Amino acid sequence: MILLTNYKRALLALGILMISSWVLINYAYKNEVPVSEKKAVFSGEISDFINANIVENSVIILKASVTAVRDKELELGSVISVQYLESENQSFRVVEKGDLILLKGIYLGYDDLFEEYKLINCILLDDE
Amino acid sequence: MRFRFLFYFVFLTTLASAQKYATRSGKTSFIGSEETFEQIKAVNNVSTSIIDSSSGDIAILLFISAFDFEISLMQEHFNENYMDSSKYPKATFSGNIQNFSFKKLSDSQKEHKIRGVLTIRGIEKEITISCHLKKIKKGLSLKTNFNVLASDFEIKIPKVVRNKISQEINITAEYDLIDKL
Repeated sequence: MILLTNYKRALLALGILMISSWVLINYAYKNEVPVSEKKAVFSGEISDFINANIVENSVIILKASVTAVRDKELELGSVISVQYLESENQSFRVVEKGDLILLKGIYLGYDDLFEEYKLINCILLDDE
Repeated sequence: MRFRFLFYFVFLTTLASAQKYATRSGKTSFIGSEETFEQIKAVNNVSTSIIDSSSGDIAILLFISAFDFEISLMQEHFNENYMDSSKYPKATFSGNIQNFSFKKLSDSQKEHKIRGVLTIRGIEKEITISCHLKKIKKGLSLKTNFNVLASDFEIKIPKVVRNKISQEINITAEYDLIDKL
């Protein structure tokens, strides 16, 4: 009888250990939420964006015209550098200088070297 | 801090009339751990850098929060507990490539020394590092690998994780700089 109780206790302890390990591992290895699913703190045009004093690392939605197209990056309104993930190559490939686009991305901050605002992990949104 | 802004001012003013090479997508990575089960390493693919080819002056700027970790929880800890990236969002380096001559660069790598000031968490530290330079299409490629001490930048490593996180951080930078973008 005592043996059976000990066995049950050991089984219970093992069960708890396994469940807590599973919870811990899931917490530690949780995937980062993609930009598409993150809530944007700002939505608007370049002039509003510059005046809005947005905190670094915020997700924003911006509507602006493309002033330059470079390798894996765009320039908006001559003051914003836009970089996107490799997975977005396909959708950004069709963007040309002069296009008016709507995009969502992470605002990193102001780059003192290039004197421009920097957006990364950008995705194109349907402008409808 | 004042030195950094002064440097940018002088650097950018000088660049206005000089031949310059630049990148907005430089790769900067670091390894900050001992040989553990999960290595603490991250990469920043959006580092910016400009080199003035007439003087060899170089400036690098990177956003701390743009370091990408394989484990997002590690990234969270890095930004909040170690680097305090909301208070100190940028790391910068400003210096000079010794005996630099763009004309003398070739397709094969050549070793150079760079002397300058590395600023992390608002703390400036003078360093001298080795780098490899070579000519590429429309510009030059720069590669460097060096170590810095976490304690030099007041990055506090708690006792509990001291056997996992190395006091010496290994930094690698690989930049392809082309005619000013």
